[in-house]
Amino acid sequence: MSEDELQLQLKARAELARLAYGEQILQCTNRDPDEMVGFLMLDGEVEKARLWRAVAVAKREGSADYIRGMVAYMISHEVGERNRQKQQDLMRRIERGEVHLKDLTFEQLAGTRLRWKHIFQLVGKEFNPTREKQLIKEIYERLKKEEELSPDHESYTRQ
Amino acid sequence: MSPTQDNNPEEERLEEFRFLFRDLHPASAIHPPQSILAEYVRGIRQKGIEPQGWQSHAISAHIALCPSCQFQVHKLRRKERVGQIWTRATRWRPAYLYLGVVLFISVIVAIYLFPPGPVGPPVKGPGDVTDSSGLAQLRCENLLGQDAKICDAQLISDTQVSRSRTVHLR
Repeated sequence: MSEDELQLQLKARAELARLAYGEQILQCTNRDPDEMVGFLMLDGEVEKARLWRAVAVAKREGSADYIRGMVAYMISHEVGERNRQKQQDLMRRIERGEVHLKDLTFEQLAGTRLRWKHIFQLVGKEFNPTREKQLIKEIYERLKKEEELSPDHESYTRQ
Repeated sequence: MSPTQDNNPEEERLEEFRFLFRDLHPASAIHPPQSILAEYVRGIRQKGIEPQGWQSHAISAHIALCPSCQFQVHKLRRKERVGQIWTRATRWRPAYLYLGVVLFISVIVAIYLFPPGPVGPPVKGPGDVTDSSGLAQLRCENLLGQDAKICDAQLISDTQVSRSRTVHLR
C-alpha cells in the first residue's frame, strides 16, 4: 500500500471517528471529552477535534438536549444532498412526536434540512440556538487556551 | 411547539460550525465491506460507548455521505424485511398445514355427499316445444346429414303434435 493510500485511510478513519463521536453526542452516549483528545485528531485536524470536544463539554456544562438539538440541526443541513421525500417523512414523524433525539442518526438526518421549529419540537420551546452557539464558542476558546498552556498536550505538540 | 417571543432563530445558520463538515470526502471514499453493512442493518453491533459501538456510528456517518452504500443498505433492509416476513410465516406453518388438511378433507366429503349433475343445458331434439332458438333444426341439418326439407317436415309435424297435445291437456 502506497503512502498516499495510507494517508487517505488514516484521514478517512479520523473523519469517521469524529462523526461517530458527533452521533454519540446526539444520542447522549458519548465518552468523556477529555478521553477523546488524541483520538479525534489522529489526522492533525486540531480545530475540528477541538470543536467536537467543545460541543461535548457544552452538553455536559449546559443543557444537554439543547446542544443535541443543535447537532441534529447541523447534521441535517450540512451532510448529504437534499432529499425531499426523506425530509417530509422525518418532519411528519417529528410533528407526530414519533421521533426522539436518542433515535436520530447521521443516516436519518442527512439531507433532511430540518427547520428550527422541528428542533424546538424535539428539545422544547425554551431552546435558544444563538445562546447555545455562544456557549460552544466560549468553551472552544477555553479549550484552545488550555491546549496552548499545556506543552505536553497532544494538539500542542502537533502544531 | 413554537419558540418564545424573543427567540426567533430563523436567521441562525450556525455558519461558524460549518467547517466541521467540510472536506469529508475521505470518509465517503473508503467503503466498508458488505458483511459490515449487513451487520449494521441487522443491528448486531449495538451503538454506545463500547468499542464495537463506534463501528455502528461510523457506518451510519459513512452511509450519510456515500450514496452507493446508502443504496446497498436500502437493498439489505428490504431483504431483511422480506426475511422477517418469511420467518413469521414459518412460525405459523403448522397452523396453515392443519387448515389445509381440514379444507382438503371437507372438499372430498362434499364431493362424495353431493355428486355433481350433468353440466350444461339438456339436449333438445326435433319437435321439442321448448326449442325456441331452432338449435334442434340446426343439429338435424348438420349432424345427421339428412335432407333439410325432410327434417323441416318432421319438425313441423312434431311441433303440431305437441301443440295439439298441449291443447288437449288444457
